[in-house]
Amino acid sequence: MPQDLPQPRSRWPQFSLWFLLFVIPTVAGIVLGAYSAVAAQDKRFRDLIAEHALVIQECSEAEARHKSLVRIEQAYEEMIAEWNSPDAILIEIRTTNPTVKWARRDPVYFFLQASDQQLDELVDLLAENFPDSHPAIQARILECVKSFPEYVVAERLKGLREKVRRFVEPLQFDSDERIQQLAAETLFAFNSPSPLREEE
Amino acid sequence: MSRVPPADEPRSNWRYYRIVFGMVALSLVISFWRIYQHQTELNLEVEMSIQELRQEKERYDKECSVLIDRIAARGEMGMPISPLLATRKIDSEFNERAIPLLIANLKDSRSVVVDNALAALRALLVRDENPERWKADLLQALLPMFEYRTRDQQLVTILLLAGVDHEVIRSRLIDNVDFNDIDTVLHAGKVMQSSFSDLDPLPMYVDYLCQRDDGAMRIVDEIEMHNIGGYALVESMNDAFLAALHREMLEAKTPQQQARLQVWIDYAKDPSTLPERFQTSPRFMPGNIRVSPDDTPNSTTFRPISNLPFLPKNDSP
Repeated sequence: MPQDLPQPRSRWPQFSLWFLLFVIPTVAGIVLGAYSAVAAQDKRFRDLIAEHALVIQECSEAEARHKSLVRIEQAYEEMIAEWNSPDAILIEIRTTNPTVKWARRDPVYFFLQASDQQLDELVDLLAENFPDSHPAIQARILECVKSFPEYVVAERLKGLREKVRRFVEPLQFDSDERIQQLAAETLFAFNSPSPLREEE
Repeated sequence: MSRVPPADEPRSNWRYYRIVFGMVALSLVISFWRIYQHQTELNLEVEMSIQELRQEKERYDKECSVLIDRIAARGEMGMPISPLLATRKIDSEFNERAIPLLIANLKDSRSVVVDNALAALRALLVRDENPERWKADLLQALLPMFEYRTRDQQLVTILLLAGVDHEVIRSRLIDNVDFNDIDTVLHAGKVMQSSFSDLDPLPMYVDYLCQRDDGAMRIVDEIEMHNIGGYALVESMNDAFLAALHREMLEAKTPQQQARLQVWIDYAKDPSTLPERFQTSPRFMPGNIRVSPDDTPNSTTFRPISNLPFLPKNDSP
């Protein structure tokens, strides 16, 4: 009988109902959950990488800014070290072109850090070097002394006034007219009465 | 719908598939776990790196803050900071600290300190994102400082940078002109001309100069110096100037003075007579004189000088 013939076996496994209803959905859920967890981690990773790039940029900007400020500070330190003694002013007077107006920018580094004693030493140094100098340098020395009130507060100048007066007053009778004029202007700048002006 | 296996069907294949399936599932779970772990580690690594970078940035910021305080304090001492600012950009944080100190320095008795403060203020305001916030302080500090000398141009520039109204500055400049001092008149005109490209004040001082005995000669001096005042004066030439030139010509003491005056009398009559030495100077090309307040120094649209209204007619003396 054809009905008694054994049926050919299916090539596919036969799954039970509980397997189809519970196991497959559970496995699918686990796979999906795992995938979403990995995807979330991946997204977090990409966000972190973007943030990392931003922070690197911010950090390099901060570093550049820091370097720039350090260079500025170093420039100050160098200038302060360069102008830390009255000799620097004398060198400046001797080496700069006498026909150019007395530079006001750089000597400020000396005057702002100088103690009263250093200012005193500077006047002594200039007075000491004045007689043996070329007339152009002499004029520059007087220009420098004349510019003291531009750099130094009036209270500190009081101590120098007498010394400057002793140095400059005789120069009003110098044979060089320019020296005479500068001497008068220097005394005026120091508020010292000039004999020549009084005569006028 | 899957077919349910009959009860008598051998289940060896089914067992085999269950094992394979279980192994695959297990390996999948392990793989996912490994990937998840790896990504977590990566994320942690990046997070740590970000944290380190943030700490480093904080350290830089702190050091910058200390340096800014130190540099601002040097500015407060009176040291020049503008040459340093010219080459290196400093952010607005520096301005916040330094500008009030520099404004305070403007009251210092030492002129070098004041000059350095002005130069630094100018350099800082050029780079400031919102310079108008300093307007009130700067107005209060700078307006009393106008002196009709070298600083005025600097003061006007700073006030303009701070967004102060042109009229306030102009009225301050004009109100304080000392008409007994020819230099202050000229100076005010020059500052206004260079700051506002504004010719309004020029008739004021050209007319004033023309009424003076030596006025025409002073104007000629200005013109020949090729400075801004010179340009302005040429632009403002009028009949009064021509009359003053003629008057001065009669009183000229030397042939040199006569020759110099004659140049401009001829020029006023016929611009083509302008000597070559003025024509060849790039700063003094008659056709390149700016006549409109809106023209900027870089403007290329100029009005030919022959069209200027002040030039005398042919029947002029």
